[in-house]
Amino acid sequence: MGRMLTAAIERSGLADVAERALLGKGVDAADMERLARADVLVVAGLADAVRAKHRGDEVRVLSPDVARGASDMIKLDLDASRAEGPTGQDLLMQIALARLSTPCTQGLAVSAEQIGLELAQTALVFGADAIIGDLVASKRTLPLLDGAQARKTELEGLIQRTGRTARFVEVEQALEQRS
Amino acid sequence: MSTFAEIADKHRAGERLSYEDGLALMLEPDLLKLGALANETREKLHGDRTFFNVNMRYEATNVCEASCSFCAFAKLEAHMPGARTVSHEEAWKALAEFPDPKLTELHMVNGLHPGLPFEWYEDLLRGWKRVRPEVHLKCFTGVEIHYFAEKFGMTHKEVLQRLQAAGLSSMPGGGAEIFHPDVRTRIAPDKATGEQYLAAHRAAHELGMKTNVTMLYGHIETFEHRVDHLLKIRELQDVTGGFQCFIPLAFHNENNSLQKLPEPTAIDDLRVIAVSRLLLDNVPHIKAYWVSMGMDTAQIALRFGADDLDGTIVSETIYHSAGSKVPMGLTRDQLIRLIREAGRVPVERDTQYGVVEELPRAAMPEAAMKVRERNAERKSLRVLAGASS
Repeated sequence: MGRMLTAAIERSGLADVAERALLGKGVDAADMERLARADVLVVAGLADAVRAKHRGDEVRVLSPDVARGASDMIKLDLDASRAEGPTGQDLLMQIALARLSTPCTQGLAVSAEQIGLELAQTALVFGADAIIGDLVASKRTLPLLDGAQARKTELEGLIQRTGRTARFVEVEQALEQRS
Repeated sequence: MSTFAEIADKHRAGERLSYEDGLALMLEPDLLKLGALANETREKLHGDRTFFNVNMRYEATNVCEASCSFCAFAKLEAHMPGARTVSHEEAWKALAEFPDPKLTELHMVNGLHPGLPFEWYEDLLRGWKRVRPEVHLKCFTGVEIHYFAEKFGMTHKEVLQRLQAAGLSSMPGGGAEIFHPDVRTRIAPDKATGEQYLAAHRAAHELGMKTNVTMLYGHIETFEHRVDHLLKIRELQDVTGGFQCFIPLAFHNENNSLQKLPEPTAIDDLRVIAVSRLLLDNVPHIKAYWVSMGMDTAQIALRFGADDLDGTIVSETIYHSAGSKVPMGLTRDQLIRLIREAGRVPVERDTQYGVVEELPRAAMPEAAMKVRERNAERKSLRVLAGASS
């Protein structure tokens, strides 16, 4: 962890929680109560440090079909009803807390369809290490390049901008099976 | 190039950041660290207070002589399909019948219409002042003011004085795009240059008028162009002190001639907000314009240096023409909720940041309530949200 994050954790009185979280085994209910009341950037910083230490920089991109069969990750089912549901910051806080409460033997996946591509990208700096998304259903952020390849390029760019590397292996398998 | 730690120390010591520092911050890989530093500055300036207003956006004409490549709003000629210029009566009625009695601001930007006389704009403002004199008129970008000056043979100051006499109180920040000529000549070749835009704002400031300023990012510009743009704003602000708010505007790529370019991502939005807060040490407010970056990113930007979400808007058309998927407007209650759930204190403001009403903060963060509920029910805390493994 960097100097700034260490100082922020100490200022928040969470040094002991951070020490336990960095073991990567998932913190308990009492720690969660304390974390949930802390500043969202401090919690995010800790979740990101735990992710970097135990899960590395790779981001898996999975189709919903392939994700259903993946047993080595928690797939968050977030309430994205949005109108009266949680706001973006609340969803990101939930993602960070999920990383900190889950043993790092498990990855942490968010669904781009559920929370939107922008929030899914931001989730990558809040502890997530996998995105579930269908490459065939284009969101058209590259309007002239429709289809699966455009979607892949788009997701790859989004992931690279967070300083991470994308792995599309499962999605490629799914596309091969469909064709 | 300095390290992040050196730049952070310099900034905390109150030293002004340089062009090279700005570039290093634009390239900083650790977004959370960058956000945390910008948040320190934001909290030093404003604490948890987060501003919004009850405003109405209006576009009186989308007919525009300029052919900016990023624009999906303008119609080049008055007879083109979709071209629209409202009548005075229609415009006055829109304000007179605006349903929210708490409305404090009308924000208007227009195309550069070649066929309308200057008096048409003066009459438009006078009519608005007749129907709702209490509403602040924040109208005409620096680009429009420069266009009027050239077209009607006046100085910027003369244009502004006549519009002030008709009811204008301040100017919005639109039209800044990217000041650097290498970019501006390619994306906005036939409207005010960066220097002319800034000259129009300078004239407004010299008349005692407050203005906002923007930057359109995420298209063909480089990080160097962004930093150059921010420093030009800082330079003028040192002289006049007239900018009250900086508003970064994310490029949208639908229905314009830059459709091949990807749009900036949420991470880019947050980075621009944070670097702006750190470089613009003399501009009081940084706005996360929810129409431009979406509500989710705008809300989280309140932890990355932003202290303002803009307003209710009601009917935005410029971003929506270019593919924005956000609602056309938000209610006052929706804005308050976004701010409260970001752990901030909502402050309804008028255009010039006078406090209309300061509202209480949320009793407890949303996440803390969820954890408490789960604890009380003795449910698994492995994840807060429903999850499957």
